[in-house]
Amino acid sequence: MLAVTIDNVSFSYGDKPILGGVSLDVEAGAFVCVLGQSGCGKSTLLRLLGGLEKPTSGRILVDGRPVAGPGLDRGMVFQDYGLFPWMRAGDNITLAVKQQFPALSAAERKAKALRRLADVELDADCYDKLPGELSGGMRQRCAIARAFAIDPPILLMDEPFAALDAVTRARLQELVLDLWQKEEQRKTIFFVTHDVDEALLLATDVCILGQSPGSIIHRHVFPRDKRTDRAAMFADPEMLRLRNELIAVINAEIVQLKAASGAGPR
Amino acid sequence: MTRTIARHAGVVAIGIALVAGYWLLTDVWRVLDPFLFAGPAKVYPAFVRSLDKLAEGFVSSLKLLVPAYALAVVLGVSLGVAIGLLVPLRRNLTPYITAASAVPVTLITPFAIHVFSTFYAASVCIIFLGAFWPILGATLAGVVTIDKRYLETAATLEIRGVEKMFRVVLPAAAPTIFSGCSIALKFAFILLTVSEMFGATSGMGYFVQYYSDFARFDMVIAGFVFMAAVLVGVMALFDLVKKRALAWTLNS
Repeated sequence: MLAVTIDNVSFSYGDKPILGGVSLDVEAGAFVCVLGQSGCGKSTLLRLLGGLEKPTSGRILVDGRPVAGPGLDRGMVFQDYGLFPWMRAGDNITLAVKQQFPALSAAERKAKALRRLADVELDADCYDKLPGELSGGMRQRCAIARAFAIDPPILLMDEPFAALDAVTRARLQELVLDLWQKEEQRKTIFFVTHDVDEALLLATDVCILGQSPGSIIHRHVFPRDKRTDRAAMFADPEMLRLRNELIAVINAEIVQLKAASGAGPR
Repeated sequence: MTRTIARHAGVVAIGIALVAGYWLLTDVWRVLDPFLFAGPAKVYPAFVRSLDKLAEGFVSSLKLLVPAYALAVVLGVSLGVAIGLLVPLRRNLTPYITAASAVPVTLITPFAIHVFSTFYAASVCIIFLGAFWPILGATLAGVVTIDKRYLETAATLEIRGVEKMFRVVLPAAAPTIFSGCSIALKFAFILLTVSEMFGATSGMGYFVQYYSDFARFDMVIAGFVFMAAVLVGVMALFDLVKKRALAWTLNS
């Protein structure tokens, strides 16, 4: 529920440019999906938003203030490794809750964690399990439960469902949409993915990140009354047109890159 | 009970084979020099006869081992974490830590005796030094190789200070720290003999040293067997603690 401005941001690892001049204005409460091939710098963009990396040039503003480092106002969900494996799932959540709400008693923290576990459709007995004892899908549910438990105004999700099977992935997509939609003050979500259908289902705002160095080569903002259910989505001719358009943009980028690398010395 | 026996059947079988093999090489075929390699026929009575003395030695050895090892764990882990997390400190201290850990602790004995006013303190010091360096080194290595993603998750959750130390850094580095502690425990047992060479009037190391001076190798071997048994027992306890602390790594 905070507006985010990315202002001409560039980023390099050493002298290898990753992002070159990314600019993006996102209104509060938007669900932004960043699409792109692997290696285009979409995860880097998310890390910059999270404050885990600093831009080489340009700036990122959250609610008008520049990002100084990582913090509780921007929750992060990674593809894996989000939970501490040495802590029970429940302790992972209560630790985060304690960081955000230090005034809560231990019992209140636990109640909150259990409520959030129920929100992501996990049984209460998951609370006492170590992450290693849970399936990949359950671990991601826990990570999402933790992210929503600390209730950050901005949520950054880095291909959170990429390692999951299709059925689990579909369930979790709907779950995240549900959690996001039922809040009065919707979070601003940045969601990195390489799956066009996932982006179409979730996003209110789709950006395609081109490669070498990464910059936004295409953007589509949905009208406010976008319907988001899977069945309707694939029946809607406008959605199908948009899907083809996005795939065409991504493919054109691949062809262009191939041509560029083919022209070089062998 | 039957299950415990079944699980350790292999260990027992190997033990019997080793003793039988040694028995064949000594008492039966006399392949090994009978003066140095006392056979079970001589070692067993020596062992039984000295059990009282060995038990007494066990107690007085523990009085050296426990404080020295405990101090090594506390200082080794806390300094290791501090140096591991503070990059400038680590960069400047690493060569000195490497150099210091290369000094053979046995050679420090005269210095330790000179510096400390009592033989007890000097002995503790030697065992401590033997255990300290491997623990410090392992803790440093463990802290430096913590998966960056755990530290990043801690950063996004604003986990800092003491909380970060005990709930993120130490658990993440624990597998490496534990392996350092286990090496250090074995070192401590080796150095027990060295540290009981002077000043001590009882102890497992003293026992071995004393009879070695009189070339009573049946007693020496009996002492070795006793010490080895104690070490196996202590390591079993150690593994129990380790298993609980590292349950999350889940590969047994």
